[in-house]
Amino acid sequence: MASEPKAIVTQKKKIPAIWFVPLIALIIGIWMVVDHFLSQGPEITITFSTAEGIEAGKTKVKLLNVNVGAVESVGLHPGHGNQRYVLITARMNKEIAHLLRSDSRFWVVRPRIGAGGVSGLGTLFSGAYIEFAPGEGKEGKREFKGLDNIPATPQIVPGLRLNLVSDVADSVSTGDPVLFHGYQVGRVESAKLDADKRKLHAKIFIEAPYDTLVNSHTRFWNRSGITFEATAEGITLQTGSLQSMLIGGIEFDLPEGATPGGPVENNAEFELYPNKHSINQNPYEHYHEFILLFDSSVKGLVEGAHVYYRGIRIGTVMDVSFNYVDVEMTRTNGRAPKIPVLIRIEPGRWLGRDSKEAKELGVKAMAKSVEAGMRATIQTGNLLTGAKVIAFDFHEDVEPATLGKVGNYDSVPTVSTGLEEIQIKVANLLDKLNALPYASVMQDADQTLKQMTKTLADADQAIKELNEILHNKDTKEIPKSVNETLIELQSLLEGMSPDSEFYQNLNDSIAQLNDTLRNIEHLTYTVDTKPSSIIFSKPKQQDIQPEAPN
Amino acid sequence: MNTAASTGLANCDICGMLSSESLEHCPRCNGKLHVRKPNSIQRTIAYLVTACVLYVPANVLPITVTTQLGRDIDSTIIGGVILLWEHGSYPVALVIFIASIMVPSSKILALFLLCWGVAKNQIYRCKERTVMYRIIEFIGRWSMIDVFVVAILVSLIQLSGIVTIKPGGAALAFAGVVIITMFAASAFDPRLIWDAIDKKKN
Repeated sequence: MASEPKAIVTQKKKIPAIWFVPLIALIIGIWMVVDHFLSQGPEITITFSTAEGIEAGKTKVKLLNVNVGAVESVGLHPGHGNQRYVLITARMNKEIAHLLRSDSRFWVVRPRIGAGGVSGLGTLFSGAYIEFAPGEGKEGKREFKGLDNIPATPQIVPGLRLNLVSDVADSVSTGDPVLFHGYQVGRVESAKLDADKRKLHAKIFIEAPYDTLVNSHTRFWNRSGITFEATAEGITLQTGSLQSMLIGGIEFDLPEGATPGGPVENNAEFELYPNKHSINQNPYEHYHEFILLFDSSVKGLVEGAHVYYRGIRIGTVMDVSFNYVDVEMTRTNGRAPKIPVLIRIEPGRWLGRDSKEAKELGVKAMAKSVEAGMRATIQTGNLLTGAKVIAFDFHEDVEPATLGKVGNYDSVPTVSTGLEEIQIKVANLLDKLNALPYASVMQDADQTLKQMTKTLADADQAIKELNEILHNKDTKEIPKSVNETLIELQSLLEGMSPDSEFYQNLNDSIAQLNDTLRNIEHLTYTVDTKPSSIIFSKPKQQDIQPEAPN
Repeated sequence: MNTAASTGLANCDICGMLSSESLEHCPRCNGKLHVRKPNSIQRTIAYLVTACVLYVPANVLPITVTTQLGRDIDSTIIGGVILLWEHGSYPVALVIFIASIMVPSSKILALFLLCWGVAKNQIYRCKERTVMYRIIEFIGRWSMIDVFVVAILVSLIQLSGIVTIKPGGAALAFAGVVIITMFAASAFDPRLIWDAIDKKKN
């Protein structure tokens, strides 16, 4: 018997369903990892000069305050030579990868408590972040150089950009406000010192609706806190509001009396004046320069001093030195050199318009006036500060002269004043004092004195007589008799007092009289109403019985 | 030693009644009878592998995301331990380290060791291994402390704008690790440890 075929039992190699659990976990894990790498944006590197406030893994890269990336690592750039940079690696979001362009800019936003106010206050708590400005260049750049300062306002923002040049630049720094009548209309975008020319160059930006406030005659000045100046006009102490003392900034306006000029191009250059006072110094475009040669000392005359004609300002002193003229030219007939003073005559000041024609008109008028005897003198403008001014006036006793020439400059003849003039005035005063009629005045005075002595003697006599009357015996008795009379009067009054018998009697009598009068009143009333009662007695009246009303 | 398995008897998994294995079903509650937990080692290892997979995100991803004044701070478990240690809070750092890192990892390792011992029919130190299993079962639930702490923090600290705490991906993964290791522990049949001795005798 053939053996029955035996079933070959093979263990079915089945994988238990439980293995799906780790499989699913693995699949999810792998998917997460793949997704992470797929969704990762480009990695960029930025170099900065400092990594202040930047932390790996925490600092964000933001575009318009939207997170678009995060700093992954902060390290040092290998650098060239001694120059060390901070190398920051940041992972950007995939969606903004196309915004990374050749002219993209990065800068660090930190809390800034600067002159222009507080900015980036949010970063005080959240820490610094890197701001990103996309730009418009070619795509695909991955290595960038970070900016150390917040960049200038983008060119597309409408407004006016100007360059200011200044010799002194205390308290002008990036971010300072640019103000017009105290209202902020722009800001300082950068301030740089030109080491070669020793001048400060500041770039400012004025926002769009306000750019029309600037014209070619506009002056800019540094609005520093306190200005103290002692000039011929006196002592000036200018303080702005507390805010301006703290903040400073640049302010602009037209100088006093100036008319608005033409429109201004972008990047035009303007001078930055040290203070508001100084913008009014040379507000005129058209002027003519003269040299004045003085014999006497010009101590106290400084640059910027005013030039007056009979108290009306017509110009400004530009310089007091030998810078503009050769010393020899100032000698006349080999005598000691005179002191040249360079002045500007600004005809616009009195002609009301600042133009070339006005200037020529003014110079002509000067020439004419000099022929008629107008001369320049130095006068003390302010006794307290000792500041001097130039004064033009007509003098009668001067030699006739015309406008001269010293070097390239016209020259107005001068007359010496100062100490010599004072000496003359003092002498005149003394002469006048001498000429006074002292003798007759003294005689009059003597007579008056004599009369006064006599009057005083009379008065003395009168007082003596009065004294005698007062010391008379009768006069002394008067108070005594007055006293006696008063005592008698008092005893009389005592007899009339309420306690006295007389007073009691009088009181009783008055009471009786009152009773009598009342009776009479009653009688007259009775007679009046019933005349017969004089004869007939009154009928007896029954008492009224009280009863309830019906 | 005479065991139930050697005499063909099996315990009902549900009601615990001892009956002949040949019945296949419990005469009392009709539950399926097994001499030993079926596929115990395979299931345990499958769970352990899952736990290992989850253990990676649990430690790499942040367990909490603290938003403090608009600034997100991610904190991983080990990062928190290091931070606390650096700040000098040694006891707290130690508690977190033991509960969150040491216990889950040692649990996984110990279960692997037990499975290996059973697979290799190890007959040494059976008693110690059973004690180890007991400990694993007992401390399993306590590993959830970390997840509870996160849950409490998230619900308590919600000062919107100033400080808010959100659970990170690691919280879920960590909870997964704890639960899966508990499953692994329950899937393991400790009787298998002793079966090796019987096998050796035969």
